[in-house]
Amino acid sequence: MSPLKIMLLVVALVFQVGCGSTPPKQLQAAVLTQPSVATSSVLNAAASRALNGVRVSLARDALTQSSDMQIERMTQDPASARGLNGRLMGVPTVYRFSLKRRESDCFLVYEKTGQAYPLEGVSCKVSAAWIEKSKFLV
Amino acid sequence: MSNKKLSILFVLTAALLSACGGGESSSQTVSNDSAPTWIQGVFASESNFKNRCEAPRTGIDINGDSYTDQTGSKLYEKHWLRSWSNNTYLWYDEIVDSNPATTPTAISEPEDYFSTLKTTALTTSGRARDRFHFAQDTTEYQQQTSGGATLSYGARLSLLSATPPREARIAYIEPNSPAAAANLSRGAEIITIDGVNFVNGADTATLNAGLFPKTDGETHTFIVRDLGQTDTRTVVLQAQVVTSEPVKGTRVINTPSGKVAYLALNTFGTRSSEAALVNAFTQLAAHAPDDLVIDLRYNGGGFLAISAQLGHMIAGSALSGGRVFEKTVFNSKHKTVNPVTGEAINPLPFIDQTIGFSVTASQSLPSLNLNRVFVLSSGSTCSASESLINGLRGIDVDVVLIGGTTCGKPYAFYSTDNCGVTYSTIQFRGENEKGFGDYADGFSPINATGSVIGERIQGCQVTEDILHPLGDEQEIMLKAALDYRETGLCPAVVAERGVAIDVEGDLRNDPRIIRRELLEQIRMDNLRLAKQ
Repeated sequence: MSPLKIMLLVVALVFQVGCGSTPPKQLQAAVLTQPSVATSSVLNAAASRALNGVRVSLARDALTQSSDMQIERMTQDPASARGLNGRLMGVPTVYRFSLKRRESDCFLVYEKTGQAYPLEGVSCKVSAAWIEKSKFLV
Repeated sequence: MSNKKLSILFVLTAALLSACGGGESSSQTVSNDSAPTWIQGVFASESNFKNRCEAPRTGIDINGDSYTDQTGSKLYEKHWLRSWSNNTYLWYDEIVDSNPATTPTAISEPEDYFSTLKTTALTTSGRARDRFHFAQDTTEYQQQTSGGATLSYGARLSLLSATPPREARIAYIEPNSPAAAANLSRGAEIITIDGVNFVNGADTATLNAGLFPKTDGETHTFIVRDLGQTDTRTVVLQAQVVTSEPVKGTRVINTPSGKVAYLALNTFGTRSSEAALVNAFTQLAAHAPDDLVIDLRYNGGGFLAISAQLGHMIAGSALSGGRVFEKTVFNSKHKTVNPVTGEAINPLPFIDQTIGFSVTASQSLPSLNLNRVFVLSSGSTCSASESLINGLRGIDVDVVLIGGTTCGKPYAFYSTDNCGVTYSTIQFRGENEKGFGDYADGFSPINATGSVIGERIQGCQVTEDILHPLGDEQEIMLKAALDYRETGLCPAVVAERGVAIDVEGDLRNDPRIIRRELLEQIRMDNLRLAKQ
């Protein structure tokens, strides 16, 4: 490799990686910092897109303690049919998601497809568990 | 857990996931190109009509698979319902066979036709035997949530009187909910909602709108009186999707005749129930209690497998090992093979290991090794909760029922989608090891009075008063259990506060509420309606 190419490569790397204080661009496990009505709305919409339009209602505290989330069919009875869901056979189908952060952006990742859905206006931080785990990855 | 037990669970799982198949051999042929025809008493296989839709869905479903709907018609959809019901409905021979093509205008929709495909038989108490026949949009049926969460304030309300003078008190609070943040607790009485007097106010629309919020973030103002207080206070509650905590409390009560464990379990319906029960029984087992009071008064059921685990955790291996928790009985056409899954019909055993719902699978479960259990009950004690009562009685564990008559649902089904509507029709009955499963009117304490009396078992009728915390030794139902345990005597029976419907000022007169939580709540609180 010529010196010019080496220099260009170095410049490109500097542009790509940036200064030492710039956050890494890999997706890091994260948790929500400000759960709210608006945050829930954005999360519900992202999960719904991942599941091809199925309605999703996440608890306000979802993804606040852990970056992982499993959702399942809502089994609350319709009001006019008490007891309808009282005897459920087998085990439920579970859909797994995780919250990720890259730089200042938050994403909901659907584990089955690996697709990351950007969460506009949602605040999150790298989870303490991920930071602890990453110490052993260096 | 034995391989056999695991295989049963896998069968159940596969059944849950499977589409409706099977069907009887056809004596009526159906061309793909011609409209289906009706011959009274002759039923083609439902597979001939499946997914032939008036409005076929296109695109991708929740699992990422393409919809398989084809162009059809409402007539096809009705013929599918007719054949499917004839094949799998538990009382298929009690359905009056009517021509789907000539049914009255009032039942021109498939869902309306479906509502006719059921028995009209009554229970001994005069209630409809089939109260669980239901159709709903598949998108509604498939709605997803986390942790059993629902939109609410995180407070379950007990409506002690729906008509003026109304009385409503909080039955329990979910932790980390808006109600918990407002320091509300069991027994708190509602005085006003958004400025309308709850006790005597005429504006029922405002009251119901405040009681049952529809949207996340909706805010309402309540004046409440906390239990034991004379002063009132104002709280502003913002509705949100609240996570449900299955176990609401455990404790061990020392009595002159030994230790009594208490456990309040409000649902089997979330995966977290498994972990919550394992934790609770691990704690309780460390005290080696002599008896257990399990509070199922608010438990409407859920996963049957978790109920089978609870049965083991109560009775232990010596009593329940290798025994049947519940047998599945389909209609007379299907005595050995499950018509929905195509698998052999096997009984569900008591389960002695974790399943993996919410804890690592295949670990031994803790148990109290008891041959007697006190169950606190109400009209909300339903389905998988009743299976626990019946399953334990099937292996001769004494079940002492303290409270009200349970709801009466020994039946179940595999809810099945066709053309965007999910239909639930009763397909099987659960029976215990002794072959008993006939409790369509529920289980009743032996001294029960009232309009609905079910299978009478040992215990006492007690009406909840919500004047003490759950788990408090002075709480009326727990106190009755502790007293009965010591003396064998029941408290005097207090008549339930039944309320007549269609009374002026009755909150239930709001048409919206007829199909909403309030009517359910009234029933849940075991207040029998005069017209039932």
